[in-house]
Amino acid sequence: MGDVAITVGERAVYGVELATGGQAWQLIRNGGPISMPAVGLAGDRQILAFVDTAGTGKEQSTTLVRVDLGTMKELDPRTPLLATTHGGIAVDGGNAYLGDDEGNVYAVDLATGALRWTAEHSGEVLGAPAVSEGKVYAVVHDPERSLASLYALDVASGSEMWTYQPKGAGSGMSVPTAMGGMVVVGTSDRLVHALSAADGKTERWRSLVLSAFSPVSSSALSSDALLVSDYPGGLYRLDPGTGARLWDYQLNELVPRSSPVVSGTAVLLGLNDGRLVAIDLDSGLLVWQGEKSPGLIGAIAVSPELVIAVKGGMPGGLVAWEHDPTGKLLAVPSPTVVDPATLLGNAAIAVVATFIVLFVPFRLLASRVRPAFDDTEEDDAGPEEEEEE
Amino acid sequence: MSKKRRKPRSGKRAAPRPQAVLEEVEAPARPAPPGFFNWLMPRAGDTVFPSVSRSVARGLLVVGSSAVILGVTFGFVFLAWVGLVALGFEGPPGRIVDLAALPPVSTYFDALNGVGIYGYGLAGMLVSMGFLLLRALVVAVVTGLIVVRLEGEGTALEGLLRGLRAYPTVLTVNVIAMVSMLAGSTVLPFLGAGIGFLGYVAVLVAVLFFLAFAPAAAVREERPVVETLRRSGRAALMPRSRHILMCLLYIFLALPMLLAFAPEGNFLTVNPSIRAWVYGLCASFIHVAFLAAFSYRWMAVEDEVPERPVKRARR
Repeated sequence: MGDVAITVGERAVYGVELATGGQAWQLIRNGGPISMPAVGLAGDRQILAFVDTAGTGKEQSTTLVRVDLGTMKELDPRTPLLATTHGGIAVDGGNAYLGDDEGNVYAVDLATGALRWTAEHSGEVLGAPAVSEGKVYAVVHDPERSLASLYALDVASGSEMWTYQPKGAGSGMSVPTAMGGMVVVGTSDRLVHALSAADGKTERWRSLVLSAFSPVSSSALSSDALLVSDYPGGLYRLDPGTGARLWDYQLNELVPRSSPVVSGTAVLLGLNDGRLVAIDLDSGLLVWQGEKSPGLIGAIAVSPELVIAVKGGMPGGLVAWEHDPTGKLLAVPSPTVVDPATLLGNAAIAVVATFIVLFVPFRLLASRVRPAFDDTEEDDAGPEEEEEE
Repeated sequence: MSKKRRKPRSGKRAAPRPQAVLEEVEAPARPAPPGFFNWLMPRAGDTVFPSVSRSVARGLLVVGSSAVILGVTFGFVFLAWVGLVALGFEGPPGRIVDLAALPPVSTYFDALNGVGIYGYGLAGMLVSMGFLLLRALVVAVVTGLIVVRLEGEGTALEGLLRGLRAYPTVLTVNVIAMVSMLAGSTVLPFLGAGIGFLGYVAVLVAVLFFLAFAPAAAVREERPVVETLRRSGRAALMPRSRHILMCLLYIFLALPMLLAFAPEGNFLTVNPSIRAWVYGLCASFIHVAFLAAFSYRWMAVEDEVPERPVKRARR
C-alpha cells in the first residue's frame, strides 16, 4: 500500500518500505498459519486484515484481525473463525472474504468486524475466494471424497447460487478467477474451464494444458489474455474468448505457490528454485530471469517502481526487483518449441554414432558365431537320427 | 524323447504333432566346438528352450549385426518422436526410451502419449488406438525381419512381407494388451495404491507372458489369429521354459531401469540432446533385441508346442 509492502510472518505482520527494504512498522501476532493479508477500504479508512490465533492448546482459536492503517491501531472486536485458515483473504466493497480448513467461507464487515455470513461446506478452502459481480467464488477441496467443488455464493447473503463439480477431475482445483461474466478454474484432469458466471453450468470453453494445477495458484485474466500456470512449471497464454492456446512456455521448475502476474508487456511468475521469470506477453519468449537461490518465490506484487515477491525458505522474507536501464532483455524460446537444426542435428549425430558403435562389433561377432539354427547339425546327423526324426 | 533341432524352414508351416508333448525335452548332447562364442549354441542339459541368457545374447547379436533391423528401429524411433511432436507432444525426451518397446509396455506408453496430447476424453483414446495400429505394424515388420535373420536365409523384403502378413495377429496382441490395461486401471485402484500397483505390474507381466511368442509364431506359421495366440500361450506354459523369468527381466528393464537413468528424464523439451538420443536408441536396441530373443525361443520350440491344451495329471 503506497510506499509500503505488507507481509505476514510467524510472529508479526511487517510493513516494509519499498524504497529501502527497511522495516517501517510491525504488528505483533500470536502465531498460526501464515496466509495472505489484504487491505480494503471502509469508508475513507484503509483497513488491513490478517489472520491470527488466540489462546493456547485446546483453547486456541483463529480470528480475523483488522488494523486501521491510518492510526496503526487494531480495531475491536476480532472476528472469531470456526477453524484455522491458510487460504488468504480477498476484499471487495468494504468486506473481507476468506475460507477455512473446514470448508467454511466467511464474509466480514471491514468497518465493524461483524460476521455478515458464513457458508458451511464439507472439505477445506485452500485459496482465497474470488469476488466479482455480486458473487463470491470459492473452491472447496474434499480429500475424503476425492472431490473438488467450485461454489458461487451470493455476495450479500452467502446463499449458494450454483455449484460446479467436474466429473473425473478428482480433488484438485486451482483458485478461481472471475471477470466479465466468466469464471475460470483449472482442474486436476489438466483442463482449464471457463464457466458462465450466471449458472455455472454453461461451459464456454475448456482448454487442455500439460499438467495439473497448484491448489493455491490462480490465473491472471484480462479482456485479451488469460494466463495460467500449472504445477510443474508450464505457463500458458489462452484466448479468454475461445480458450485457444496462443503460446506456452515450459519452465521445467515447479510453481507451488506463485500465480502469474502481468506487468507491462510481460507476465511474471515465481519458481520453486528461487527464480522470478518474465515472459513476453505477445511472443511467449523468456525476456528476463533472476538468479536461482534457496527458497521459492511465492506471491508477486507490482508497484510502479518495483516488483515485490514473497521469498520462501530460511530465512524467508520479501524480495524486490527494480528496473535496470542498462540491462538487456533476453529472447529465449520455450524448450518445447521445435528448433529444426537442433532436433535434426542431434538426432542425426546420435543415430550415426549409435549405429556404428552397435553394428561394427556385432557384425564382427556374428561372423564368428554359428547361425542360430545351424544346417550343419542336420548334416552331421547320421541316418539313425534322420529315421528317428 | 529325442528330437533333433532343425533349422526352421522359411515360410513353411510346422507340421502339427499328433499329440501333446509336455515332457521335459532335453536337447541331445553334442561336442562343443572350440571357441568362446560357442557359448551361444545349445548345450547338453538345456531344455528345448534356450536359456534366458543365451536367448538375450542371441537377440542382441541378431539385431546388432543387422543393418536393416537397426535402421528400421532407429528410423522408427526418430519418426515416432517427430510425429508425436507434430501432434503437440512436448516431452520429456525420457519417452524416447520406450518408443520401441514391446507390447504391453509400448501399449502403456502409447496410451500415455495419447492422453498426454489430447486429454483423458474420447480424443485421447482414439489417438491412442491410432498409435496402437502403427505400433502393431512396426512390431510385425521388425518381427518379420528378425525371423528371416534367425532363419539365416531370405531377404529383408521377404521378412517385410512375412511381417505384414502377421499384422492381424500382432494387432490383436496390442488390442489385448490395451484392453487388459484399461480393465486393470479400472479395477485395480479399488485395491489401494500398493496392491493396485503390484496388480498393474502383474497385468503387464501376464500379457507379455502369454503373448510374447505370438508375433514370431504369426510370422513363422501363418495360422489363424486365435490359434496363433493359443499356441503362444501354450509355449509359455511349457515346463522349464523360464519364460516368466525372461518376461520379468524385460518388464524390469523396460520400465524402471531404462527410464530411471534416462538423460533429461523429466525435462520438457522437444529438442533432445545427443546424449538423450543415444540413450534412447540404445534402449530401443534392447527392446528389439528382446523381441528377437522371444522369436529365437519360439523358433527353438515351435515343433514341441502342443496343438491342443494339455490336461495336467493330478499328483
